[in-house]
Amino acid sequence: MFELDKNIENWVNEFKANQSMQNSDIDELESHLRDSIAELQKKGLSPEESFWVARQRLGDTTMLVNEFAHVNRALLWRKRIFWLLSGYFLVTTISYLAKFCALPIHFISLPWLSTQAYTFNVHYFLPVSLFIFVLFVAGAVLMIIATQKDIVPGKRFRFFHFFTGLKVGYKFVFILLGFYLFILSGKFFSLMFLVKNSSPAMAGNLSEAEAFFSILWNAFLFITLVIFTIQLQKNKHESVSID
Amino acid sequence: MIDKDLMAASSRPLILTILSQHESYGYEIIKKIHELSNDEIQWKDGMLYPVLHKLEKEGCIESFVKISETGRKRKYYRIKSEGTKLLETQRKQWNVVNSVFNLLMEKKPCLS
Repeated sequence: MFELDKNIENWVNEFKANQSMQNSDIDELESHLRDSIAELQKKGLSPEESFWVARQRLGDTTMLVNEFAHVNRALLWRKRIFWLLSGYFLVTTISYLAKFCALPIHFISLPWLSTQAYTFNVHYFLPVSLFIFVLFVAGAVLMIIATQKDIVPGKRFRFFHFFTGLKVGYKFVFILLGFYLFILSGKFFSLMFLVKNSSPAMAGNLSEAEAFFSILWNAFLFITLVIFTIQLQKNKHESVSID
Repeated sequence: MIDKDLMAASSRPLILTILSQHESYGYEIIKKIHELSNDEIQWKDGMLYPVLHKLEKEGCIESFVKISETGRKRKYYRIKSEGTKLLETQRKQWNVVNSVFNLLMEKKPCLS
């Protein structure tokens, strides 16, 4: 038995999985599809036939998504930056957490890992925190894969779809590199500013100050993330006023 | 069936002309174009919306929501003064192309 509403819902979900469509765009297309189906049914087609004909008339999903992406380019970029920033914060949080967890391990035991067991040793500290970091990342990836398993077909996990949606691979690498450079440049310029404004006698305090500025930079990025989140949220609930 | 490039070039003046007559929504616009062209113009229906949204962004048309006879929300579009101006220049351009084309195609009497 052909379920019309379920098929329409699946069709809508194909669009929802994509970042370049706004909800209002999808509503408009759905309304068009339903109008089209209603008219075809009036002409004597079965629900199933009219669904497929109407769907075919509207056009291929990928083609439509690409066309909408042209118009909604600004929105697409806001979403990309949003994901990049959240990714950055996830990684930094995990790495801080890893360092934090590595500290007690260092002080408590595992002397065989270190040359000087009871003094603070960077060469020992680093691999432990790195190991914990990798564990966290692996855990996060596993969690994402686990959530993907029990998903209804046609309703893909959004985060993955965002990556697979970028057709040209190097485009994505390019964006990532650009973003990394952007983050680094912020830190670099704050450091430049410090070196320029401090006397040789203050050299010892440099790393402290650098850490301070890096906190400022992170705070700036965090505020940007919050702004993007609010803007995207606004976009989601955007509805046109009724005349 | 009309060529893709020609279709892309003519979509904006066609949409603006329809909207200059009365406010309308996507499905109605595409139906009208299909009917008037005897189905010679075969857009994929969905391709209309990016064009409409672009026109809206440019300030040529505006959208508003109305409840349709079936009780669902429907997004309507109507033309703005910017759009009327754009339509006027585009109509002039089309007329120029059209008249040149007609003159070229005119059969000249053969003298020999």
